[in-house]
Amino acid sequence: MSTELPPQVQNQIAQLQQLQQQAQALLSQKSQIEMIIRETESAVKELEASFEDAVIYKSVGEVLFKADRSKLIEEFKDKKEVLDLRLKTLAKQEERIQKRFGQLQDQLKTSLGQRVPEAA
Amino acid sequence: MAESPAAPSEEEVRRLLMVYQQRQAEADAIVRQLGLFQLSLEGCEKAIKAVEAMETAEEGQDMLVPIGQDSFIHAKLAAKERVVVGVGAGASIEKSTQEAKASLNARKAQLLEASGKLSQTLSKIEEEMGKIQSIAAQYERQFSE
Repeated sequence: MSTELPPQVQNQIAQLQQLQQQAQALLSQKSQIEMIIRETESAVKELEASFEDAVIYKSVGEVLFKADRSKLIEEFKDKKEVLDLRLKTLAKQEERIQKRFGQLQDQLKTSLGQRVPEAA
Repeated sequence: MAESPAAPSEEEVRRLLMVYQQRQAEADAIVRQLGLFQLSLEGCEKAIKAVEAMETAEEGQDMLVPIGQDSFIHAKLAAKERVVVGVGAGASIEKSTQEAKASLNARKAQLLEASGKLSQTLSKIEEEMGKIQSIAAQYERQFSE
C-alpha cells in the first residue's frame, strides 16, 4: 500500500500551509497596528490632560523637537484614523483568508475521506 | 473482574499533543512578555531614582549624560525642576519633578498590575500543561502494558 498522497491532496495541503502563513503574517501586522493605536490613544489622552501651555516635545529619530500641543494632538488623531482604517482592511483580509481556509479544509477532508476506503 | 481503561485512540493522543504544543507556545510568549515588562519596570525605577536625585542636585551642577554603549558626554544641569517624560507615540511632556515622579510611579503600578495578571495566566497554563503531562504518562503506561 502506497503511503504517498495524491498530487491533488498534496496541492491542497500546500495551499493550506500557504494560507496559514498568510494568516499568521496578517495577525502579526494586526497586533502591531493595534499596539500603535493603543499607544497613540494613550499619548492623546496624556496630551489632552496636560496644561494648554505645557511644553511638549516630539521625537524625530533620537532628537526631541519642541512641538505645538494642539497640532500634535490633531496629528495623532489623524494618525489614529488612518490606522483604524488600515486595521479594518486587515480584518477584511483576515476574514477572506479564514473563509478560504475553511473551504480548503473541507475539500481536504473530502479528499482524504475518499482516500480512506481506497487504502483499506 | 475490573476492566482496564480503554486505550486512547491515535486521534486523541494527537489532539492532546496539539493542545500541549499550543499551551507551550502561549507560555513561551507570556515569558517573553514578562521579560519585557521586567525591563520596563527596571527602566521606571531608574528614571524615578534619577528624578529623586534631581531634587537634591543644584542648578548648574556638572553631570554626565549617557549616549549609549556606556559612554557619556559632559553637561550642566540647566533646569532641575523640569523633567521631560515620554508619553508614547514619540511625544514627551515637560513636567515638574513631582509630576514626573507621580507619572512614572503610575506607570510602574500599571506595569506591576499587568505583570501580575500575566503571571496568573502563566500559572494556569502551566497547571494545564501539568495535567496534560500526567494524562500522557497514563497513556504511556497503558501502551506499554
